[in-house]
Amino acid sequence: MTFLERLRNLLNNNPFKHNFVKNRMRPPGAIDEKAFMERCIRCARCIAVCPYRCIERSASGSGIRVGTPYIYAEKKGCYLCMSCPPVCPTGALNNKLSIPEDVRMGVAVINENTCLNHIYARAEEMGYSDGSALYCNTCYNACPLQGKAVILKDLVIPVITDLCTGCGICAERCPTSPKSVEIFPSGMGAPAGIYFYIKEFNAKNEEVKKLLEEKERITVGKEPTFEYDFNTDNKLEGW
Amino acid sequence: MFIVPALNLLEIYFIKGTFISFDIGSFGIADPVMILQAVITSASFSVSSAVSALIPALIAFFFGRVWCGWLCPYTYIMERIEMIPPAAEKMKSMRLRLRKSGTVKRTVIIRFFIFIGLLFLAGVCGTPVLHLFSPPAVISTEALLLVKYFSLTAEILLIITLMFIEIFFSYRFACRYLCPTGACLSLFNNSARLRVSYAGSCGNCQKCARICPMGLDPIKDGVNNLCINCGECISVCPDASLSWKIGRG
Repeated sequence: MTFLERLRNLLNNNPFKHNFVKNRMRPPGAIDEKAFMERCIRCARCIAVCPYRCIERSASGSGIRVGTPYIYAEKKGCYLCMSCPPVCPTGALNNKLSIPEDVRMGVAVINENTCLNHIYARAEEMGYSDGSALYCNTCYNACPLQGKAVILKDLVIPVITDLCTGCGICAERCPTSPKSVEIFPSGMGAPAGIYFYIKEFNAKNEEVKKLLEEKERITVGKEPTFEYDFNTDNKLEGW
Repeated sequence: MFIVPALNLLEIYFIKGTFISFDIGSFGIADPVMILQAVITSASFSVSSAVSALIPALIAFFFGRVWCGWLCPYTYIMERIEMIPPAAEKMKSMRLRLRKSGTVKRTVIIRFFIFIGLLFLAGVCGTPVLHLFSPPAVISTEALLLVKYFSLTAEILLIITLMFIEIFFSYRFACRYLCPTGACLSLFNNSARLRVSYAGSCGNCQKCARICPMGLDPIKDGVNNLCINCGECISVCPDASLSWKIGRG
């Protein structure tokens, strides 16, 4: 590796550019986090134009990300009015994005242990309730893509589909504490996108964790001993 | 600067944004240096941002640094502070000390080194950081936050530090050395069509040199990177030998 390559690697992969926090998204239309950090000039135009005051300027303590816009889903989700993407002067937000359904800020994930509807379903199955079961449906009712991004399986269990925009309204409205719906922002992350974090989030019990670890260890096999000019995937992940 | 976010609160979006970049109608205007650093860090280029940066650049090209002298909120605040009696005496003496032989040339050189250094810093970080060093940018974004959220972020510390430095140590430190916005605009200053010109004869009262906030001597260096076209020297001149001039030369 030449010096120039090494320098380029060091600078392009600097740790300041990646930062994953649940329930904290970029405004709609944001490009991949790394490119976003390169482009965003912190002009606060998106903050100025947001009619719901959802977009906030990141404060001190956020290191080099100071001044960049964030949406904190637990405080206030994005209402998908789509007035911020066109105003971005440098294209950090995709200027051409105008359809709310096309927004991909993240993915909502429901915590099955605390979600009231899940508790309700379990209670119904078992036949008795300890009093915490409630037919809540708040996320279903609050969702701007009602019936598309959240569907009610068997009319009880809320399921997030691929159409979820990650707007965070369900996380804002969720009545439980801590919130049973959490937004995993897209494009923020180092390893393998958001689904890595969702996997970790779901890996609550030991068995799943063990299986995950095992899966990480699985390799495709021995590398061929003869000379070859193709790339081999060592991880199962890419399949 | 407080008016724009207040208008936006009333859902009037004719003008929106901050001094880093804003819209008038559907017409985007952006600070050229901010666009420049975004181009540097992302190594990509978009036409719309270039066009929005072109407008202030053209204004600077024709009228010089009128942004700094006439519009910049930081300049305005410092001018007001200078009128407060306890600060006034000290700042005036500092202003008079500015004008020693060689200072102007040195300032211009140091300033461009700082400017290039900051651009380099943005390139190394891979993220645009110049907004942290540009007083008008910080002031206008903080004003926006204050109006919209009743909160401030840590960037306001820059303004407080600079005010402290300017009141006690160095007169107009930000405008003369630090501000990348001003430095970028002053690149166009040498070709500015609107400029202070000297008629060639005067009583040599030195009033103009004493009033100049940038520490220039309008008679000797009327056309200079540092000149902010504020017009102080013209209004103070007793025999009208300094005047605005439009056109080259």
